[in-house]
Amino acid sequence: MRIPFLLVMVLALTVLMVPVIATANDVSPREFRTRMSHTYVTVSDMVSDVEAEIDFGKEVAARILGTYPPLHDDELNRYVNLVGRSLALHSNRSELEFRFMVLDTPTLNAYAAPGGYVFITAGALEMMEDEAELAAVLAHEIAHVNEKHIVKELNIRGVEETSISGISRFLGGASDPARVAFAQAIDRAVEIMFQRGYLVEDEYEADYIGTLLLAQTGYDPAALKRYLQRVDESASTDAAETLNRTHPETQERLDRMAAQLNEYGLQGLPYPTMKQRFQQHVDTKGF
Amino acid sequence: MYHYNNIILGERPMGMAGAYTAVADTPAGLYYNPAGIVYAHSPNLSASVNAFQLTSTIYENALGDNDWERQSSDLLPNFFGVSQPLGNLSLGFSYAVPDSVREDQIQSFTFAPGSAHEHIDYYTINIDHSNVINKIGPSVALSVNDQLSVGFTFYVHMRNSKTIQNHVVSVQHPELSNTSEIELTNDYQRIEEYGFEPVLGIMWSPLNSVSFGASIRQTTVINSNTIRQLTCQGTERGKQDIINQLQEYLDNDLITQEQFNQEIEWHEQYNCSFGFDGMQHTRPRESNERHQYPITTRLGAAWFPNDRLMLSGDLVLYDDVNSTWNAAVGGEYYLSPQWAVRGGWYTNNANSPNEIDYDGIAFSLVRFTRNSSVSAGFNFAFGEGKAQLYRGSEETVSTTSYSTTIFLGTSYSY
Repeated sequence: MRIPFLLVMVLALTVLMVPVIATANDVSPREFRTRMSHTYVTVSDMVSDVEAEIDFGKEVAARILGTYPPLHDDELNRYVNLVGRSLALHSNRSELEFRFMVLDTPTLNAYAAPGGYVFITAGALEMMEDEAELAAVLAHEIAHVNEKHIVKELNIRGVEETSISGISRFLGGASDPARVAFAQAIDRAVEIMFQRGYLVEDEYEADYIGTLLLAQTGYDPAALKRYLQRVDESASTDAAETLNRTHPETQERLDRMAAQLNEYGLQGLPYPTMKQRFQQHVDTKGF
Repeated sequence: MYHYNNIILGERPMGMAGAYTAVADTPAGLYYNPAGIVYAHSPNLSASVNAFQLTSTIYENALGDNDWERQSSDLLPNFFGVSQPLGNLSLGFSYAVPDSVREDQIQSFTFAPGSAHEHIDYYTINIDHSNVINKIGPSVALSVNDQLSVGFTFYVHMRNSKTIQNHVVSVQHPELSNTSEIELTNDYQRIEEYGFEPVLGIMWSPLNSVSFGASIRQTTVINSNTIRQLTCQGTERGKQDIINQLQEYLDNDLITQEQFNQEIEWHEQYNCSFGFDGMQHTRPRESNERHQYPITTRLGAAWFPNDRLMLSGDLVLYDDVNSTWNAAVGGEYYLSPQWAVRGGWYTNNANSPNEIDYDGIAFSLVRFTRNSSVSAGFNFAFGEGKAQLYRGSEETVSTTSYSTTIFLGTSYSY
């Protein structure tokens, strides 16, 4: 059957109409292809998401503990937990129960697994001078959890149990691939923590929110800046090198924090540092 | 193959009447245009569709005053696909059933006194026929830049066809009153066909809210095996008796010369005992002749004015000995983030002037949740005109045909 003249005319008109209905391409096809249902997926927040985040965080935490063993010091871990939880009270993730633990390694770093599992290394503790600095590092990690940096980057989402999703799975929607994707995501999360580091914007955001969290809790908001400055000065050590590899340029971070403290009028205020208490629990341990 | 668009594949395309070449951003796109999968919203997605299809074709006055109705019904999972983006690359795998016919019917005809077939007491046709084409294979797509992507799907092609036809004709013996003889025909044919079908696609978005897509494909058969066995039980009337009978009708003006010729042609085509006395067995005949499939080019344009509305159109060209084309226009409208409707119009044209063309409409209602969507819809196609009663016949009869498909589709992201 030959293509009718009318159809050819309709196609030609369609092509001619294109410049009328469209303008030069300054919007990504991914953006204009986004449908309303995709927006729904992005903004909705479900209980199953939180459960998935916690389950995922447990797996990631297990991998962290497989890399660095926990420091078997109940007294010290209790102290770190008390400091961390006082900060977590001011976080906006009341649905999570934050847990903190010291890792038995001279490496200078801290890690936050989704779901509220926060780790700090003995090496990092050794570099600190007061409780405010400990709180600063923990606040930075809590901020990563608050803002779901890993969760968003790896698109960790819960599996819904609605009747519609049940029909989907019954009709052939995959469930096994979901488990494979989950396992792959854990590998990628561990890679982010130990090798690649967070996205640069996420680190700056964690600094920003962590600084505010410090001030809200009552600690010296400049503590993170002080601590980073000290780390930067000892950048020749292997431990510091690890920290720098997984974080953005320290000077840029310090500049941004200084600007933030000025912006909020937090510079030089007499916030407590709790140096004595810190020394009672940490400084005397001699790792 | 007379029609190339008997089944519309994929959850989203089914609702949009198959106008999907310039959209193609779900796993169904692996079939229509693999370049589109780079725009998949979810990192990983799977989809499947189950459809119940009923087709009925009525050949009017095909046997004397009798209409001949052929029905096909099938419940088939017609598409499954997964996709996985890996940076600028996207990988996919899909299984598709682009054509499926399943006929299982019994039909008996009787002929009124005075008609051209009055010497036949009854005529029974039993048919068990299936013809299924399966495609399965991997896909890869590359985002060349923000506006351009290319994709490739490599399908393994498998076709299985089986036809068993039994004809039973009770014929009055003119010389022996009140006696009848039985003519039997058993025709068995099986076709197994293997090959491959590469699909090359391109997606281009030079302007805001507009995408153009194109894909080209051709199935190449590398191995084909056809087995046919025809078994007949003729009558003593033999060929000459039939001719004599018809000649008598003609002489008595009971039939016209044209009807006489048609009857002879009909016996030559359908009555394998025509010309033989007694039982005729044929040994199975094998053939490795390979079926030629057309080069199929799909051209599409889609407009995404906002996140509620999307309109799309396709033109599909089939370039073979008997070229033909199909067109489709479709749209999608979101009533809310949880509900959407899809609809469209399409053609299913014949590649032969002796067959009827179809026009079809499709509609579906879609419910979205966070991880999944489920859609339910229907597709109705209708065709009317003159069509061949059987392949190769010069004769065409008035034919009415409709096809109804009810489908349930889903996609699941994780």
